[in-house]
Amino acid sequence: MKKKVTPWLFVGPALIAYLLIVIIPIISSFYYSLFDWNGIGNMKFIGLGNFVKQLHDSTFHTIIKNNLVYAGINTVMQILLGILLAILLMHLTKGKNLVKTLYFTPCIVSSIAICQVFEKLLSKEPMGVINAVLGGLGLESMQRAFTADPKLSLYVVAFVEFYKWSALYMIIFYSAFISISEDIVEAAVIDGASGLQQYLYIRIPLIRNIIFVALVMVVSGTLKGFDVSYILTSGGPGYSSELVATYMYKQLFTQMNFGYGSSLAIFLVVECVVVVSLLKAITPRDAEC
Amino acid sequence: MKCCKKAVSLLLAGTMVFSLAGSLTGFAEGETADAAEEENLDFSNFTIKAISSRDTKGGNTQTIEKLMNQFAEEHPGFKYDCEYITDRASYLQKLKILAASDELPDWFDENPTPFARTLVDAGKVVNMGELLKELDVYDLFYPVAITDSSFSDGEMYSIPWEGNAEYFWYNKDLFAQAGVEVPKSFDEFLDVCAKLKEKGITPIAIGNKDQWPILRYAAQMPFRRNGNDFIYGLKEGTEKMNSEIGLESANFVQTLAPYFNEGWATAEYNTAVDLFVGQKAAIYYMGTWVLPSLVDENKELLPYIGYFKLPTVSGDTTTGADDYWANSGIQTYVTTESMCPEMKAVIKYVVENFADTALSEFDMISSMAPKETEGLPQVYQDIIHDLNNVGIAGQCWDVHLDPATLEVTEKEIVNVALGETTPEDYANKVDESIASYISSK
Repeated sequence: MKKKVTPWLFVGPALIAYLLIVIIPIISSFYYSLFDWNGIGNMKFIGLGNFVKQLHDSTFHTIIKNNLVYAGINTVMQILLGILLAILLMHLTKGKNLVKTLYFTPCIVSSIAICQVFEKLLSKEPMGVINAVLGGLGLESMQRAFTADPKLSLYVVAFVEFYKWSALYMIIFYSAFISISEDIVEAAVIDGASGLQQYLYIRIPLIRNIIFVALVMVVSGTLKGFDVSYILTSGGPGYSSELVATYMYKQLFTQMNFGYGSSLAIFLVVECVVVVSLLKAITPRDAEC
Repeated sequence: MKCCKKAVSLLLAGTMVFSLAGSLTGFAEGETADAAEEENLDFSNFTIKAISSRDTKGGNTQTIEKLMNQFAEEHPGFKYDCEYITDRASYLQKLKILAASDELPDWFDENPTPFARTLVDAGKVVNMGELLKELDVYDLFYPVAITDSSFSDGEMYSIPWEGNAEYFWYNKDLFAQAGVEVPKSFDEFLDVCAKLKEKGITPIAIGNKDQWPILRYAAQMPFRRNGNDFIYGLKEGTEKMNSEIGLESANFVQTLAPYFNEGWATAEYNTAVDLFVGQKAAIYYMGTWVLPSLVDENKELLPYIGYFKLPTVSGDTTTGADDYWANSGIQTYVTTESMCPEMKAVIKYVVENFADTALSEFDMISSMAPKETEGLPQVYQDIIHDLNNVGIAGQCWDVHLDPATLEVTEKEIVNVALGETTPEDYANKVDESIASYISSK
């Protein structure tokens, strides 16, 4: 009996916290998604009407595409650059801590500050640094108001998100690399493996469970992406850089569509679960943690 | 005869003395009644909790804070506790969350929007028109402020503070450089913009991060054609955006967009002001709340800046040169729950003293006529004159449209301007959103 209770005593507090801040809000969001409600008047039960509305909401469809592009760009760039930076860090002999600190700084700086910096950097009127540099290089034709260009704004937002978080994965991958036993690496060196081969066949395969965890983190994180889009472009111009989370937030707290907004929250949960499950399905079982 | 005259004089003098005494007694009685009434009020531990989206350094905020402090000095125990959230979007989100959780503060900022209407319908806010009349201060307000703070049915539920007229401010030097005159009609306006652009001058500065500036351009043509009937009809579903007037408005915005500063769609208010004041753009459409940025140390308009009112249009029109946008800025609502004699006393005190304090101490033109305008800089006198004489005041679309339609309109009109969508698609989306709002009511 004691053996059965003890583990629950340890898991219990975390489970209660998880229930309170994750499961109950999801259930309550689902409850609200069944109503048409502006937050003040009476709630009108409409069943799955809000989910049907999602099927016909052309703006929402555009936003899903935006979100997938945003998540795709960030997944590829954050994971690849994270690995690349971690490898470079492995080979640095001096100033390793300084580089780590400098690269990691954007992760701990608030999104507001980073977006302010990028807003000024990318501005055209008044001329920001990027446009000034382009002008200085004689590339005036490439000068533009990057955040105000509907064809570029989503990529700009994705880049800022990537800039903010890529060093986090650098640190994770670096920690994983240094945790590999030197005996294995030395055996590979004795067998004549080149530096590239060491990474391709020894080190990276050995940290694939960490890569999988990082993949889940970056995919779920970017599918829920909110702050950079909301602060830097407010989802605009038009809906060009709008993401599901910003759209949900606006439906809830700007448009007062608590029912539809809640249904979007449920969509976000389902979307993350489905995508992470797919990732899990296509990843070899020994890579899962 | 002499005696008779004396008797009449004495009689008249007596009557005068009696009537004077009577009136003095009456006055004293009124004063005594007021004083007695105030003596019965208990301000110990009386706090007004407020939430505001106004700039903390703005004349409006400073005037209210000053008057509240003065009131607190005269009434120990009274406190005015205001939380400022100057980012309007964040403010509105917080306000709506507070309303949904039934935790509205005593005072809050809002306009007569559909959201405010729901609060009125739910009986959450005080009928301010009736209260101001009861307090005998209703007539202090400019008619335009009363109209602007009232719903389209004429009911007034908020206190207007600011007196704003919206003008096209222009740079005289840049106009001279391009050889253009102040336009009287929108046709001339477009010609002026084209000539300015030919000379390499950015014709119009606009910072659309707040989303409403482009909406105002979209509203201008329908206002000229149909006054406020277009927006009133649109929000009720009796008028369509996909109509001759609605499409004319979208096409006008699309024609105008190439004349805006680069990056206008996400540019901030201050960026646009800087472009204009820094002489990098020739025209800037904005309300008189921008005045502090356009005047010199003597509060006179900078010598290179002038202004003109909303141009007219050729063809069918219902509004003329004296009809344009004039408004009272963001207003204050008071919750029904917080209403009590003490609250009434505070409102009366602040309203009665607002205009003169705002003008004399913070250079702000309020929605109430000041007692004295002599010696004011010319531009202030002109604006006060305009506020007294505006004909039909244009109604703001961002105040009248329901939140969902407003979001669609703001986003899609930017797409129209940038050529990302057609005026017809924009119009259909707006109409669909309005139809959906009406059917859900």
